[in-house]
Amino acid sequence: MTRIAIFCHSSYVALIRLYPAKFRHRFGAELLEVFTAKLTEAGPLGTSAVIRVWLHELAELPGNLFTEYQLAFVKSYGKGEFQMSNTLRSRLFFLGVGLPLGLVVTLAFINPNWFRVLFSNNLGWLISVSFGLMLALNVLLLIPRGNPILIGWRPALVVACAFLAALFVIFGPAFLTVIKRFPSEGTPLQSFLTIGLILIDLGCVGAGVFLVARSPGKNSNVLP
Amino acid sequence: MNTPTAHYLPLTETTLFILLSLTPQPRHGYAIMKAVIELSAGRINLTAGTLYGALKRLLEQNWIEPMDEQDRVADNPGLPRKAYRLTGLGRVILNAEITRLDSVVKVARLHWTEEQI
Repeated sequence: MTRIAIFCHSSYVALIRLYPAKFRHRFGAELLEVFTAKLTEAGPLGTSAVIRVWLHELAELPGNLFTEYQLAFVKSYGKGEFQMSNTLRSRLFFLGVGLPLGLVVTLAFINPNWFRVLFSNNLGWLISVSFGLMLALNVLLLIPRGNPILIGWRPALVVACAFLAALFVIFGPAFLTVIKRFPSEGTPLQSFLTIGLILIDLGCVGAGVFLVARSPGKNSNVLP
Repeated sequence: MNTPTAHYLPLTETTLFILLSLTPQPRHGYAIMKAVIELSAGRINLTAGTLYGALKRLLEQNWIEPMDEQDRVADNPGLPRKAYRLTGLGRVILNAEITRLDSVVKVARLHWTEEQI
């Protein structure tokens, strides 16, 4: 193997780790075997052929990961088995919730006018508190009591949860202001991003409601 | 189309070609990939991730099954890696899809001729 091929091989070994654990354990060795066979076949055709094989795999990776995680998620919820049982899942969860919230904060700082009616909108407060509570419930639902991996992290997660809920309370009215003014004020990009982020956050809340509705028996075990 | 298999149809092109690739003999992952390229005249070039995602779903639906070590050696001693083969249900589904495609093509041919291009 050339140095490029060795690099592609090594990076693919690392990328396989991104797949859900069950999929990885079942098919990881075979994935690597097939990829190695493709690299070996492309080797005599030159460096560009090897790179093409690697880029092809890389290009389809996000879609494959999304599909596998989606299926794993749906399947485990259907069985009532889902738990944040490893650090990858917890990282992904906080990426999904924390990243949109971080972006909201950044955008809010970019356009301070969005805070003009902060603390003056009762409906905004009501909705924000609801969002915060639902998000809190969502997070707590995913922390199993006595999970050996997460047990040390539980206080930190509860604090993080409270922090996220507080963010919703603070920034909720700002969201409403933006919606009311959309699209007359702000650049189209700002409005588009904000509306998008609101929808993502609503999705998080919706997921919480869904989880509560789907696993009533489980709640009593996992909620503190 | 009121057969018990009807709700699985239509199959995606990838699924169809993977099932077709397993028709003549059991194959391992890389051989399936090569067979799919050949069957689709180069149009479908599966990545390892896409292939095993599809194989996983086919295994879950019991349309294909992995060959155990004894079968593998008995059926094809030259097959060194984990191989998959069609199940009875897989053959039924494949047959139903081919019948469906055949009827679609018949209708299309009836209403469309090359002179209409």
